[in-house]
Amino acid sequence: MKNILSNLIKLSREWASGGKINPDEARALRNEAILNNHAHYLANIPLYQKLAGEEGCGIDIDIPTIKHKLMFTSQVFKSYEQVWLDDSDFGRMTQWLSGIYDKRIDVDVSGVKTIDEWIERLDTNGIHIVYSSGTSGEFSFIPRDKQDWELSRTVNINCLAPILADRMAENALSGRWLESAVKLVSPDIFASIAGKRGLPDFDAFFLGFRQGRMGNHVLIEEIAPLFKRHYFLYDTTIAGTTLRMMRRGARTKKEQQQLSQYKEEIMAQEDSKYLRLIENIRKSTNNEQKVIIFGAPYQFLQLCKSLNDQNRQLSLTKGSYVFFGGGWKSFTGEAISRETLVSKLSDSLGIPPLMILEGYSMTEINVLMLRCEHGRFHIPPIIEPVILDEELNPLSDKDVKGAFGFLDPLAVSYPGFIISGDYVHLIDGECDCGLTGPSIIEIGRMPGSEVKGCGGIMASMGT
Amino acid sequence: MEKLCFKHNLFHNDEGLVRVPFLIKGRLAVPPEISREQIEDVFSLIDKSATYIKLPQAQIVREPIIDRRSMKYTGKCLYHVMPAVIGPELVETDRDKLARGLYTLSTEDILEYLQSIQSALLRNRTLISRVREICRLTSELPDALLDGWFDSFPSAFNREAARQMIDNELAFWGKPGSDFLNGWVELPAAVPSGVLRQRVGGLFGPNISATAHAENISVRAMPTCQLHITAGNAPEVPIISALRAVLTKSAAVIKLPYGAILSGVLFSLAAYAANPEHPITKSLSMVYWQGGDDTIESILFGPNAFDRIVVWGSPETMVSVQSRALLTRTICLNPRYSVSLIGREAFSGNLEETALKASMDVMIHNQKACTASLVNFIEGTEQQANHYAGILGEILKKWDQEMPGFVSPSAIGQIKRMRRGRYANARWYINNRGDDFSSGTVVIPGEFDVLDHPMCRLVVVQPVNNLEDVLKSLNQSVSTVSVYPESRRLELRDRIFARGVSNILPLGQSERLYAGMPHDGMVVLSQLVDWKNG
Repeated sequence: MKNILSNLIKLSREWASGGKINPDEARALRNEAILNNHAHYLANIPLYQKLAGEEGCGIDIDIPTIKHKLMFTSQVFKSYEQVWLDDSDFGRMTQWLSGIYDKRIDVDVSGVKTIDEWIERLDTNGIHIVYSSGTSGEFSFIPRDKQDWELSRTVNINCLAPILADRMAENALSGRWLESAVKLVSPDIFASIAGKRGLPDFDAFFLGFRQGRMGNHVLIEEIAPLFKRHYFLYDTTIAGTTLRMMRRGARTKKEQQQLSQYKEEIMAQEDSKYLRLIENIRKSTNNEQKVIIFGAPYQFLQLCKSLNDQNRQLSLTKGSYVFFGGGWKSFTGEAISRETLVSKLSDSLGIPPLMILEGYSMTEINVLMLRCEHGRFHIPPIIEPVILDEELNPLSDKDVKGAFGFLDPLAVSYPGFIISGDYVHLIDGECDCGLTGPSIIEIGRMPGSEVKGCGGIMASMGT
Repeated sequence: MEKLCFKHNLFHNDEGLVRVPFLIKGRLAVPPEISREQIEDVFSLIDKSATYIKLPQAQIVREPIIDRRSMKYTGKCLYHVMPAVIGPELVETDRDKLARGLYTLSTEDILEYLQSIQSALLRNRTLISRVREICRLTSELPDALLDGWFDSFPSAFNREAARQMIDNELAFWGKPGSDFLNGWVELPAAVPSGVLRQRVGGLFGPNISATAHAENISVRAMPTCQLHITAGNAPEVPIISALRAVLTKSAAVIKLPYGAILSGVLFSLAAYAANPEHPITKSLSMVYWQGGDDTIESILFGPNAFDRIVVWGSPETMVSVQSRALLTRTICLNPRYSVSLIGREAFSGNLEETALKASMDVMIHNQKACTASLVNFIEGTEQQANHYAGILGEILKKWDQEMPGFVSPSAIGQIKRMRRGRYANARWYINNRGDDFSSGTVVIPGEFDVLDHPMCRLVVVQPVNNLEDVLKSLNQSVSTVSVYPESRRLELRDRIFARGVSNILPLGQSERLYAGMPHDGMVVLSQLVDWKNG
């Protein structure tokens, strides 16, 4: 299995660097990995065993049957009872988590009182939990073992570095070493070299918290050390317990006090925090250091507003970037137009639209899809996208709209055949940017799905 | 009715195209001639999922045709071609005309009017059969329920039932409602002297007429101008609304719902055919427009356009109407759901019979009605709940065989989402027709969000230690609670009512309806008239 995945990642890296790959070879590798995962899930993941049993599926199966019968929805990662969290019953939570994990979790959780402590306790036992939330405040918990975690990191560096290097001319990640590395080295070594070289000619600014366990926080922690300097809008940790309390409301007087105190500390001084970040961006720019700013769309709007309120504009050093992702709607339901945001950012930060990047991902998947200059989120060949109709039957066409699902071969320790809550328009074919294969050109939410995603949940902090 | 249909080519299924008239204040509005090719050309220009097009002279609704054997979409469509509607034309501005005409009618006049409609319908059974077959093409109801409804359609205008509704729903001070609808009714009320009258004699002398005590206390139930926004979850909804407008001799606009346009139009055609010049017909409009059409709704929701707005429907419809008609009294018949409570006594009795009764509460309008039970709370262990769920599943299978139901693609998708998502840990008992869901039960011992329910013959079975544990989850969103056994119903009844539930009935009797019955905690006719002191 390791060889299959390694070859798939190499193939994906070649694809990301614009090289011609053999789609049949990619499909064969992907299918092999998916079928291996099916056998692994069937043997080791209790909830998958249950579903397969109900659907009459055994070890001998084909990919269409998996798409038709064995894809979970992303809600499976919240198929626990809220009252267990309310009552700090982490024994039940652990038992539930065992149902969607490929190893029995025998972790002693006695004395654990909060979500954060639970996550820490599992972490010390090799189970890495990432969570996401929606408007309801019901968390999805996705468990990964160390190997899955490393694999996810490796694949993203292998796929993203060549694409980004193409746009980041004259930086540490580009140049001849990359061309050679793409062709020659293994995914592990590639990731290791890319990690060591880093991006010392960039300062990074994150419109979020220094630490946390939501999908975006985890990404931040991974990539922050790559840069010469890095700054956070909130130089603190966001606790899962607090986040849940903010969405679901305080239940006790003590929780109410905690919540008020938190809001006072974090939210009441939001303007000054943006101004402090702007000041640091200005300093980097004055030192002719390139900057890269990460955040959610609504946060960039706030950044632009703060600059506008101060009657200020920045002119970022040539080669600087803005990178956003996490949804276009805030929890208040206010839709943000991409064109409006790009125009504001371009004006406020003095940055050409081409340097404004957008990514699409979700906590349940192990890759980040980048939007190219032609408006397509390209899906690396390591992922098998599945578009499903209203009845959740898979559609097969080169131009389809429906629920976005995927078979993710990188998900070994948890079921990676997932139907998301997103409604997308997917097309398949060559793009003018040079990349080939399936890509997403429109993203919305399925009717009835709550607003979700890091951008959405961050927006909720102020509501 | 047949002559009208022949003259204007109405209610004929002409290769998937049906011409549908509207009644607009006594005028029969017929749609313009338009061919299926022209319609398909227009639809081809817009999103393929679109169900509605507004043209300058016509409106077209597209409904997917259901194969009655497989109860699945055929991929073909039926087009309803309807006349255009203009907002101002619907609003009654001549209140004097109403005071001189419609409002002077007696209860007997109303009953005569209804009887004439009933007679017209009974004389036109062939037409009713034809409309029924057109409805059958797209109806989500099982054939047996659709046939049952059409068979009983004329009886909805039964004279005695109508009188019972008026006399009971508008009864006041122990007097029958028809008295108040007919005119002023003197009440034997003792009226205390007001402070001013007590003082006026002292100030101006005892002999002036201002000191005289009022002898006659009179009250009257005055008609109103009503707008009814109806819902299409059951074909009778627009009929109930129209009937309420007629019984209160009110000028009314009934907005017909997508999915139940024809039943309402059939009523209005009978009204026009039987009584074209009658003041009720002249003040009644039964029309369709697409919800949210601001060119119409900005007029209808404006101040003083109507005295009452009755809204049936989704939460979105409620919020939309209430926010836009701030100055008009709105009667909301909210979307609600129902549940059943089954005590542990069931396990020492005949469990099959109990489950059969429970299934009758499930099957109401194919589980689309607000009185249909979605959740069965079982007082017992998880094992007992599973035992019960298995039995109920088998009973539902028999209903499927007897009355195959339509399960929409979105409901099929939702059931898959439940099974492979939040409720993946639950135990499912599924009946299939071919590869697709036809009915089933699921035992969910923990939390269940009723908004996840697909409302298509799926019963969520939840074990509870004690039926009293269910009380905390009951609120105003629950329409009906059916309970077994009777002793437990009587024991819990007042405590359930205190939580906002409207009906608490014996298990198996949630379908219960009678003339003059309270609806969603209201005596609706009483809400639709203006109670006047005179």
